[in-house]
Amino acid sequence: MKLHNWLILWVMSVALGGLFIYAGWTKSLGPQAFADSIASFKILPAELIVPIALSIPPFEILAGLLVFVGWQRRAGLLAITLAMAVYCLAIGSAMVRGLDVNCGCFGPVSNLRPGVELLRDLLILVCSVATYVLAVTTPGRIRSLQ
Amino acid sequence: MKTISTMGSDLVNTLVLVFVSFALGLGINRMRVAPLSMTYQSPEQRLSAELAQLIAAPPMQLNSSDSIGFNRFRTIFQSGSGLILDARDKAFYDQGHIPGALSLPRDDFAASYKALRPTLDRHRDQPIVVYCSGGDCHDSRLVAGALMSLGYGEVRVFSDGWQGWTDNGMPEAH
Repeated sequence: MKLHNWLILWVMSVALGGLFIYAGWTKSLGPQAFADSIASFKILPAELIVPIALSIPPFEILAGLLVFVGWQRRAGLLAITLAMAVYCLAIGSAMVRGLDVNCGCFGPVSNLRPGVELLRDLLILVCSVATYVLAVTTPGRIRSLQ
Repeated sequence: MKTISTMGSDLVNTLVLVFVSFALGLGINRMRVAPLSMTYQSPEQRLSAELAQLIAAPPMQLNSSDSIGFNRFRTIFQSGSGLILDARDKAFYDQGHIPGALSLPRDDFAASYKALRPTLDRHRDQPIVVYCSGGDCHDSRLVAGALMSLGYGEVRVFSDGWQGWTDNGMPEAH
């Protein structure tokens, strides 16, 4: 595998990892506000909303750190990919049902339309899938540079 | 075949990450000063419960005439003729707020109201303007309704909120 592939993987990992660390951090600032955002999707029962709202910020921060630092990068990328797929499905489902939702993706301040949020999340999903595939097909740094 | 095996081991590590995050999230919540209740309550339910501690009356509903837009709010801000309240979580208030605004977060309404009550009572005859994040946020309407229930007469909601304020390049306080 060539150096430029490793460079693309590194740049994408820093970008995706940094994005998820930031997203998790903003959610951790207002767990109640994030629980309200999750509730607005009307998907989960009341008993699951708070445990999930409390778990997603550390999940995003840890996944972001794995991808950013490079230790267990593939697992972190897979976690980000699965999370983005779930977020896209949730926003898409809310749009189909005509719900007025605040995704809470980067804290409570978000005036984006759901369609724009869906497009943004789909773009991140595509990037994370591509980066994961690149990580699977790209050997470790030392071997790639030899 | 090797790729499938790689994905399998990645999936196992991802599941470990899910369980660690779940444990970490619940653990951090237990260490909070005010941990979240594990059963979700809507903002309306939470505020009603807090209001019940203060008064035995349901929160008042606002109508559209109780909202003010950016220009009217800016006039009140510049003339200093009203009290401005920030209904967002305290963490977001600390990150940045409208200069002179006081924090009265919807999620900590009862305790914050008790602390602010002397100031609020001094402004009982002046406009009190409440804002939150902006857009479709509900916190300002809920706090404004609660203040009306508590007998404050001239309570208004700045509908553009923090987002509208910063989008117009207005000053911020930290």
